Order: sequence, then structure tokens, then C-alpha cells
Amino acid sequence: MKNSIAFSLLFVSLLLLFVIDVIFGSVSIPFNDFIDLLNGKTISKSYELIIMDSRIPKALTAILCGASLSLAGLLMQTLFRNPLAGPYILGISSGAGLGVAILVMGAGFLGITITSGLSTNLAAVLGAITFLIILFLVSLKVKDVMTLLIFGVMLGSISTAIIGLIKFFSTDYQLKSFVIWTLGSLSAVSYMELTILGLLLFFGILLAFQQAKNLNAILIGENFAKVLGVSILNTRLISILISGLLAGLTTALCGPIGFVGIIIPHLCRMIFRTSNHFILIPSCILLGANILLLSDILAHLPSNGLSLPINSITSMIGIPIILWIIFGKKALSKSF
Amino acid sequence: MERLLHIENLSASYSKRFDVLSKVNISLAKGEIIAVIGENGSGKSTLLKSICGLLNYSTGSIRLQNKEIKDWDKKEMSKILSYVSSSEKVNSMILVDEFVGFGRYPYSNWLAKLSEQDEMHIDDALIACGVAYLKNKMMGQLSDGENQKVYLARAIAQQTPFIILDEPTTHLDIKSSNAIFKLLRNQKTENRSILFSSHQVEKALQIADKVWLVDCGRVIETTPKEFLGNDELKQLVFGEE
Repeated sequence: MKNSIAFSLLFVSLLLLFVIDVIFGSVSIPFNDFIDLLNGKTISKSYELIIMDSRIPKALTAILCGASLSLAGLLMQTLFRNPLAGPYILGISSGAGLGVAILVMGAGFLGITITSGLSTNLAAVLGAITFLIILFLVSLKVKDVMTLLIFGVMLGSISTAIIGLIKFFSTDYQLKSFVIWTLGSLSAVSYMELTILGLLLFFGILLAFQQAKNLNAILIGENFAKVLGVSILNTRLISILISGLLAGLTTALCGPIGFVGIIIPHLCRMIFRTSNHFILIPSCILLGANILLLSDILAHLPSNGLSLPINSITSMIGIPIILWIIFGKKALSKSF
Repeated sequence: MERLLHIENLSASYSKRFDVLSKVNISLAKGEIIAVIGENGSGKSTLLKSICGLLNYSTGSIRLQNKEIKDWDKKEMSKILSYVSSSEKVNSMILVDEFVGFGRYPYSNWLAKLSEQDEMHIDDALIACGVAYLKNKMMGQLSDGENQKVYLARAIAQQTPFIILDEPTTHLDIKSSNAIFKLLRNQKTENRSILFSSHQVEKALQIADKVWLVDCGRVIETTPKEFLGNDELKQLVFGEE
């Protein structure tokens, strides 16, 4: 009963935040105009353009990215049984970053200037998928999950080192383009890209639910789970695939968005007081979407047309929550 | 008695360099209680893990109900064999009720929906182990003794004819150890086979039908009576007096 109330509240707040995110911004849209547009009535052309071409895609991006990162974070925390694991723990987003760095700054060596958002996204997707394939192959060979975790961290470090080298030889303009990408943005995603992310999230959720029973079993210990007939390798490969693809595509479309994937699973465990994935998966998706929508609203608070980097907002929300969880609650590791 | 487990010429290892177990030949019958004893590092856990299919053995054969362990479908095998180990790290936020419910996993669908029969087995197991009052507590709130009883309850809820326990009395006080040994002995009335390792040799011998003494990778099969009457065997476990 308590769970259904919490789910209902999350759903209602998601709708409310969606509406606020759409009507609130550098140009405020009257609520009645928004409702009229939804009812198919004619409203001011400029309002219609702002809502349909900018605000709704941005709000949908926040929902899909927040849900994707939270789901990916939950799967990684369970798989590695580590409270600080998140969607980026395996270095897949570093792969996306490396792809973008090679494109934005590396292309400069060839005398080419890259400005297209599509090519940046493609480079990020290629980088993320390359790292995902490497991790996938390694995870087939490596038996111990901690070895895999360290390998992922090493992959991230290698890409940071290569990015550092590329930065050293880059021009100011190229450096600025890359830094802007790393700050993250929800406002440059097209409906086509949203459809792809939406489909990926949909299949990710289906696969995650299909693995929920096995993920629950992992929480009582890998050996217990194996003797209960759980294929740890299958669960590991599917979890890495879902998290990798979701984190990789999210990073490709919006840049790296910090903390959402780490804090949301913890908040859900606290709110629902459970480790059951049949409850955690939908709750993480809903709460993740809520938090990123809220972050997007906060990013527009300074008004006068200025929009703060989304990554800074999620970090400002995330860090106090993590500190509150660490100091206000029992030892985090005990939950794992 | 009908044979449940038969091990022939088994060698098992964690690396290719040397075998932890070497040329082991032993067997276990239905309804038998067997105590595995031996010093630390002798290969007790390796033997139990090999039987559970958690460790790939290099040579030899382990046959459970006349079928090679490697050939068993793990889900089907989990209806025959359950495993309890105190070294497994269990998530502290899981309710005792839920944890014991994991014993019903092999019988539930992909949504892990428990039937009335499953619920009945869970309640029976909690009562049999005397931990029904802990039902709504979280695993992280239990004492070591309560933990071991709850672990055993999960194995009982799994309703397998064969339970393997790796050191179920580690870190327990005398009262809690006695309670665990009593619970193990009670399983005989259910015609379950129990294979457990323990360092509390005297108590283990009191409930066991047979003893597997693991020493430097070899396993000596004996009875409690034979063991107590053989100074050479006793010296392998207790050292020189």
C-alpha cells in the first residue's frame, strides 16, 4: 500500500515537473496557452515553436536521460555490490568522451573544424560502443567481478590520459568546444534521437525486469545465487549491455551527467526500504526522470536567457544528498 | 542404502600449479549425515564447492543421483542440492522472510511470484529453525547465531534431499552451536542427507554417521567410532597431545 502511494506521488510529480519545465524558461509560456496547444487549439506561433521545438524535446530528454542513467546506475551497483558504482563506473562514458575528443580536437590536426552536433553524437556513440565491446569481451574471460570493475576504471584512466594528450596539442577553440560538451546539455537532442533513446530505454527496462529475479539473487551472494541456478555470467553480460548502451547513448546525446546514476538507486532504497529489483527498477526510472527534470528547471532559474550547465546542477543536488546518505545513515556498504 | 553422491578419483584446484584435492574416492547415501573435518587450508571448502558445482574440477568424477555434476542443469540441480556458507556476504536490507523465500527461487516463475505452497514451506522452515519471530527483521540486524539459523532455514525452504553446509558454526557461542547441531540432527527425520564441515570435532562426531577427514588434499572416509579409536587419525586433526 505504501509502495503504491509512493509510486503515485512520483508519477504525479513527474507530470507536474514536466509541465513546469515546458512553460518555464527565458520566455515564460502562459499555462492556458500550453493547455490550448495540447487541446489542438491555435496559439501564438512563437509560443508553439518554443514549446514544440525546444521545451518538449528538452523535457523529454530530461525524462529519458534521468531514467536511463538511474537504471544503469542501479544495475551497476547491484552487479558490483558497490555503493559508489554508477553508470560511468566501467569507463563507457570515457569512451564516449574519447570519441568526442578525437573528433573535436583530433580533427584539428587534419585542418578540419567540426561543428555538427550529429558528428559529435556519432563520435561519442562510436567511442562508447568500442569501450563496451572491449568490456564485453573481457567480462567473458574474467570470473571475478572486482577484476572487471578495476579493468573498467583502468579503461577510464587510459581514455583520460589520451584526452589529456589531445588537449595539449589543441587550439583554444577546439578546447572550448570540448569543455562545453563535457558540461552537458539537454537542449540539443532531436525527436529522432529521442526516439532512439526511448526505444533503447524501453528494451533496457524489459531486459532489466527479465533479470530482476537474478539480480535479487545476487544480493544474497554469488555462490548462493549460482547454487540456486542463476547464471551469473548471463546476468553480468545483460546488465553490462543495458548499462553500457544507456550510459553511452545518454553521454553521446547530452554529455556526461554526473551523480544522477549514483544517488537515485540509494534514494529509492531509502524511500521504498527494499532491495527488491521488481520495486527498485520502476522507482529508479520514475525518480531519475523527476530529478533530472527538476535539475533542468533549476538550470533556468537565473532567467535572462541564461541556462546553467546541467552537469553542475546535478552535482550540486547530488553531492549534498550523497553526504547526507553517508553521514546521516548507517555505513553505505552495509546495504550491499 | 541408496547412493546419492559418488565421487571417484577427484582432483580439484584453483590454479594449474597444484591440486588442492587429489584422487578423492568417497560416497554419500540418502539420509546420511557426514561431517567433514580437517585443519584450515586442508581442502574442506574446496571439496564442498566442487560438489556444489561452484568449482571446476580438473579430473575425476562427481555424480549426484548418478548424473555428473557438470551435466546437471543448474536450475534442476537446485531442487536436489542446497548450499549454506557463512562466508557469503548477504545484503543487509533483505528481510529474513524474503531471504528464506530465496529458497523457493528454483520453483518460482521469472517474476519470482510465490505460491501458497511456497509461503507454507517458508513458514515451516522458519518454525523448524526457531526463527519465525525474526520474520520481519532485516538480515543486517541479526546476530551471528540468528544468521546461521536463518541460512539453514533458507536451505530447508528449498526442500532439497541434500544440504551442504560450509562451517555452519563458525563464530558461534556454545549455546548457538548446540542449537545448529540439533537442527542438523533433526533433518535426519526428514530423510535428508547432510554434509557439513566443522572445526567443532567432538560435537560434529556426535551427530554424524560418517566422517570425511581431509588432510593435505586426500580424503579419508571413516566413522565417528573408528576415528575416536584411531590415534593416528586423531593426531591428524588434533595434532600431537
